[in-house]
Amino acid sequence: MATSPFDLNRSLQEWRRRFDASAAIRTENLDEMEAHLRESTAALVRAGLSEEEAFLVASRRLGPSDALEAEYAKIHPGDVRRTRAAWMLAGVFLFVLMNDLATLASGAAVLFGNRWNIDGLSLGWFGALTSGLVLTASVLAFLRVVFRHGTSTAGFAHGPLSKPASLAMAMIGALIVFRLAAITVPILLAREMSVTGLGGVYAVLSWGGVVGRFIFLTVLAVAFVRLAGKLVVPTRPLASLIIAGLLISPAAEIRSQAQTAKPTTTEAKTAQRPTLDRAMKLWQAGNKDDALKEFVAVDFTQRPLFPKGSVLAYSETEFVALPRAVSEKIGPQILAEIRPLKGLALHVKEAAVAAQDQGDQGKADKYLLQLKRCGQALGHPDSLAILRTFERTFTRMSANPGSPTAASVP
Amino acid sequence: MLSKELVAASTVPLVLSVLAEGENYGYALIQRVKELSNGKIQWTEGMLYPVLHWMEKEGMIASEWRESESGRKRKYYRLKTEGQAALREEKQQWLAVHETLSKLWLPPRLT
Repeated sequence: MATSPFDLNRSLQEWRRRFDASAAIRTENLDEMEAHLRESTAALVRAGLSEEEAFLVASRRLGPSDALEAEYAKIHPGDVRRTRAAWMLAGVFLFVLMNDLATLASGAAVLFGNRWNIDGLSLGWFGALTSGLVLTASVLAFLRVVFRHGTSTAGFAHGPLSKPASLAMAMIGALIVFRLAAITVPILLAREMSVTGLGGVYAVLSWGGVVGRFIFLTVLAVAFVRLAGKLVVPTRPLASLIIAGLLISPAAEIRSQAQTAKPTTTEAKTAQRPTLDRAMKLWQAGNKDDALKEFVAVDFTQRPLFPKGSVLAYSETEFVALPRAVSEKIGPQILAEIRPLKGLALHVKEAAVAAQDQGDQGKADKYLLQLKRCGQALGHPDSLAILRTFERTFTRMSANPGSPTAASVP
Repeated sequence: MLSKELVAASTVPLVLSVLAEGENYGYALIQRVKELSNGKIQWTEGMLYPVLHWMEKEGMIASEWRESESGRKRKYYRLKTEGQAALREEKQQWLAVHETLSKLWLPPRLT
């Protein structure tokens, strides 16, 4: 029978390792108890026991490791408290880290998916799915590590990160890197994507984020309750408080999301009344008559002139304040969206002239007045500077009954 | 065998008394108590060390790592002045208990 020979030094090392995760027992305490074990073993060997038997008896006489730990904890309570605080800190960092990791993954997925010209909403779902997968994977990995070694000593006990302080430091490092990366992702997205695409992505991601975080926190809460049974503090009330907190925070987020979503319903109402925006869209679609009708029916005293989300809805101050990457992207879009305005105005002017030629002075005046009002509305201080330039042109066009020329339009 | 409570209560006076004989280290301290009590006082050996550390923190004893003649590293403890005072105090208390119990338990004198 080949049993591996007993090695006292190795056995002592294994014995020491039981206390690796203990905050209460310091290295010096272990040295002292190891010296005791050696002495005790030697004495028992002299009494006729084999070295292995002697070591077993000696370590048995020394006492069970958890009882020793409890006794030392009474002498070094500060060490124990500090270690607990460090573990908690590590927990908080871990949570933020997982969150950042998921954000980063979804951003990267969207950036990657954007190469194939997929619309914003689908890209958003793609990103949300990726972040969900990453979150699930990281939570599972975490739970595996925690539960693998049982719960008496935390699962990290034997790695290079066995001390919570070094674990927390490593996490802070990772956190800084991840945060920086997570900040660059939206900037890259703004550079690479159209405004409507971005809108779709973020619409899905913000809702998906709420749902995802809800699931994530629930899993964490369940894990916490399972762990809580093994903790010393009165955990029942504490656990219920934490779970309540976890549940409330996404609920509050859903509420704030719902509030920001509200304007859409009022937008739906304003969609009923004629708008300049729709007149321009009709014009662009080639539907000149309906565009004219819509334009004439617009109430230019109503603001905002352009719906939220349209690039023309920016005020000049807002536009100037945009990051360069974004404004470079949006600038050409503004120019493109303005184009139908020029054609539409010329068409209104032509219609007015035609009405005048037919002797319908009232109709002609109405069209010209509407053109003038449109110019005034565009000249509002909240408008983009390029839109404000239309005020002079439209006023001139409405005052001058002569036939319009393309040169008079900027 | 002593009850758990009595073992806990007697540890400090026993340690102080053994160290009053001269400096000593953990293992030998335990052996000395075992020997003097004829094996009636048996500590869970590891439990002595937290007590020693507590006593050191309280200023009763001082410690020092040294190498023995046989080459083993040992942590030696010795009594300090505060420890001597504590020992006197303990002695008084234990003797008071001992005296009382002795009077109650000894057969009455016939003279």
